[in-house]
Amino acid sequence: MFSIEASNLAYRFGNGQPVLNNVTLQVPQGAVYGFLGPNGAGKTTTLKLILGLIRKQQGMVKVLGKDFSQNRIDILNKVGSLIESPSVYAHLSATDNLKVFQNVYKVPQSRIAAVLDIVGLGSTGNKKAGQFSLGMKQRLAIAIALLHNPSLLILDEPTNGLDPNGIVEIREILRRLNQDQGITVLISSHLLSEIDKVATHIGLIHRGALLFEGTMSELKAKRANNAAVIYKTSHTDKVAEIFTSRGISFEKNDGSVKVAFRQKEVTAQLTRMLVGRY
Amino acid sequence: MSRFLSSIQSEWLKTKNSAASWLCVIGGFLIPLLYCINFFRTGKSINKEFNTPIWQIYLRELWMNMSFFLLPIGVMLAASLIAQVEFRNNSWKQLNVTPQKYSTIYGAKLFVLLLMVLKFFLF
Repeated sequence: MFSIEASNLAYRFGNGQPVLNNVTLQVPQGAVYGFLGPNGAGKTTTLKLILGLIRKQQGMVKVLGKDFSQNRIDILNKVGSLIESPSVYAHLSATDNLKVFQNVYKVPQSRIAAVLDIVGLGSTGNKKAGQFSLGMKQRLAIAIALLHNPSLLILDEPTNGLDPNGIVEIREILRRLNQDQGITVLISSHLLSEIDKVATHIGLIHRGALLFEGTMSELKAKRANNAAVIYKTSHTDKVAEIFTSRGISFEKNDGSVKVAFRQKEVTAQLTRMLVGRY
Repeated sequence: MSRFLSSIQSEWLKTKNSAASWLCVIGGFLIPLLYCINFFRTGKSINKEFNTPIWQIYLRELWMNMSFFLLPIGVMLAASLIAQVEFRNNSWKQLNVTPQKYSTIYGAKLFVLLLMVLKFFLF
């Protein structure tokens, strides 16, 4: 069962370069899915397409097992989101900001105090949101996303502008929501280190194409397979000769020889072997 | 229907603390105020003429000016204010992911606009 299934998404602004190329995304239920990519890779565009904020040009989106375009209202009732910059009404206090959405989502009034407590904004009183710092606005936006107890959370760079303490806090909140209430979380970020600590699944996007999708351990295994040891030497020919005689596959470049990394011991052995010859 | 009502409620809340109420108050007082100033400046008034329904004449004259000039401008200002609240705070996206039909969202905005015009008249 997948919480989000998006297949063959493609998108271009106007007649310009395509921003997305056949992106296929599958977020399993109950996962914390980290959506990683550098700036301008198409993360936000993908998330906006999933939420129907921009018109879909190609492909299909299924959220919580239903086709999005046919069940828009049903689905949005169960999805909490934060896309790009926090959207809070600057002329209203934190409580009023949440009231605006509490009316629409029809949740009990008590949820407002509850979510304010969760994000640590319980004591702001009548202060207008316009006077908040970026981190506090971000927290308020997360509170809005959590307000209606969604079963799927879509957060686009939720830790932008937060202090290190806040980042850890938000991470803990997300982990708790995921483990205790089984909420599926989709977070995007351009920092691997940040996603690394919470995500169970990873999607890597670069220049509008999905490069990798799978669990965290799969990514680590893949990374290990791609690791290599590079020997820098002025006697590349001789090194190549030794490796050939031992039946080790290698790649010879100008001034260096590259060998696939297996284990530390193997590398040590090879090095000893090379050094011993001189 | 109840969805529409709650949507209106939330839209109405958004005009709180904004320039909306001031717009209505000042807009409502503007024309009578101009008349008043005119009266103090020139000292001319129809009050001296006897046996005329003074207030009716005033009302008619004021209403003519208002419907002609002030009301359209007031509505325009109010409409741009409502749209601008969403643009300035970057919140169209947040509004459009709430579980409401687009028609509900825009319908509620229109209704709030009408409410503001009503408020304008009350002053």
